[in-house]
Amino acid sequence: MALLIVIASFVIATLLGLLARSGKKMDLEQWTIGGRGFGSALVFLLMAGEIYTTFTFLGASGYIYKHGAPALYILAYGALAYILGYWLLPPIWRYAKENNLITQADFFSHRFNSPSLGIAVGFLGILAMLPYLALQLKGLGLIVEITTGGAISQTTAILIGAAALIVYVSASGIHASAWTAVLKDIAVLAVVVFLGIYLPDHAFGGIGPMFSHLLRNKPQLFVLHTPNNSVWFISTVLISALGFWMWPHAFAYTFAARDETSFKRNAVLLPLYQLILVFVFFVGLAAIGIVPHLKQSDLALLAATASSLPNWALGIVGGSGVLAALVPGSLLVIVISTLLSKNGLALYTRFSSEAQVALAAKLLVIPVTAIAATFAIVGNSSIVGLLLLGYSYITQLFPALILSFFAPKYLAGKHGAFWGILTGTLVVTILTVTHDRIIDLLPFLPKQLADLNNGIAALTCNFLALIAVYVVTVLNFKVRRVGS
Amino acid sequence: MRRFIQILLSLVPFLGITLSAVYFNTTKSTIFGIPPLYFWIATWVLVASPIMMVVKIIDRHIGRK
Repeated sequence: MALLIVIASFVIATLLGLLARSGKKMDLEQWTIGGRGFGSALVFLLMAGEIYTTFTFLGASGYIYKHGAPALYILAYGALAYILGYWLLPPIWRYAKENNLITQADFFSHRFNSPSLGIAVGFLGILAMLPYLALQLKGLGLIVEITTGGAISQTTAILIGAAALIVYVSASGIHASAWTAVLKDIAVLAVVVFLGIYLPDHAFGGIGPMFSHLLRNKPQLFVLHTPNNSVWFISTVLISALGFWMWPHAFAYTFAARDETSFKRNAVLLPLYQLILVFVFFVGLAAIGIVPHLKQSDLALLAATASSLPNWALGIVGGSGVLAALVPGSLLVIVISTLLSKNGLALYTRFSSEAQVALAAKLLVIPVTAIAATFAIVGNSSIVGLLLLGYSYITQLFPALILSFFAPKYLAGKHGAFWGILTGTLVVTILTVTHDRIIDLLPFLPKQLADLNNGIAALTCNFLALIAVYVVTVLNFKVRRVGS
Repeated sequence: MRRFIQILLSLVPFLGITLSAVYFNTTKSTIFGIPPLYFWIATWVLVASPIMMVVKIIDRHIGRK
């Protein structure tokens, strides 16, 4: 039964995605940003799509199962990001509309009058989005394998998911994401709220007794402690909130909005919507009582469901999980393919029309999805680990973007932006490859910073580099003036 | 002045959430049976919505003027 429900969810998602195309001429603007015609409700669903992904399904419940309180960062950063969006998204949307921009790389290229910076930003975006896309496919594989009792293996599920993405994304672009997002949010919400109430009751006799039991027996789950102490928590919340709108696909659904009031309205509603994550945490905590010795914590929700509910209910959870992977996955594929086509290939080949750029973007969906599927099959990082790495990279765009709106031209010049982003990216890469913390590289720093999130450390270096370029530019200007 | 109040209001949840990590990081007591850190962060997420509603209302007043 579970197998049938999971297969049905793949089929329904693909059909909905294909139907979303009807009556629209899929030029590049329509395919990537919905012809800038999405109303508040669709923008809400695309913005909320970030909350309920496979990361929520598996990562959040698994993280609280394994680490306890540090998982609260997931609840905290979303609310703060929506507040930030209230201020940030309207000027970004206005600028993009006035200048007919389609991608994030277009935005940086135009804002700083530097096509090279556009290419660099596009490259960084792809670098950050590929692990995020791999994460969705990896989560999809896990969900399907567990819920079908191994009838569909993780690898096969990843390949089926990749094929479904290729079919409906190529046909309908962001319209497919929006249509399936409606179904996905209904399904995921119902499943998460039900499990968040049922599983604690099943395992401990209710949510209150669950907290009492765990506080007595596992108090370490309810406090932050090294290496995930308060410094880690604050820095991780900040890096995730600041990076939230820096994702290229966040720019895509920002550009897709019909008007800027959507963002302000959604900034009021989305923190409430975010609160439903609390039920995911209840599931993770209940799983401690139901399946206490899991080796792979990302499986907490699925394993607890499998041992507490009948097979058909597990199928519904699996089906919702499939949708939770396909919707954000489709947005990521669209944006990576458009970046590669419009801000990569189009600059170096002889594309003479936008139709050719659009065709190339649609064709690129195949290799992009294939690469992400390979990462998902071969890679072995945890789901939260993959996402935090992506955030560390993408947040490096934050200083340049903010300064381009609110600082004098000199400070936010293209050279400062470029060197800042490059420095931040290099720091993230070095710290990731060497598995070092910033305090290992700079031992003179205060010991309290030992658990600082690497992304914040890189962001600080990024900002310092930006200021250094500004100082050099000013000095150069003064020297030349004295000379003349 | 109204813009300044809006920005200050927007910063309140940032302070509430990040400071809670330091001051509510304990299991010595509970609030309605919930560990303090969990309760405090969930409350701030809940409070963020009405705060942003006030910010939006102020925006509407600025727009009218």
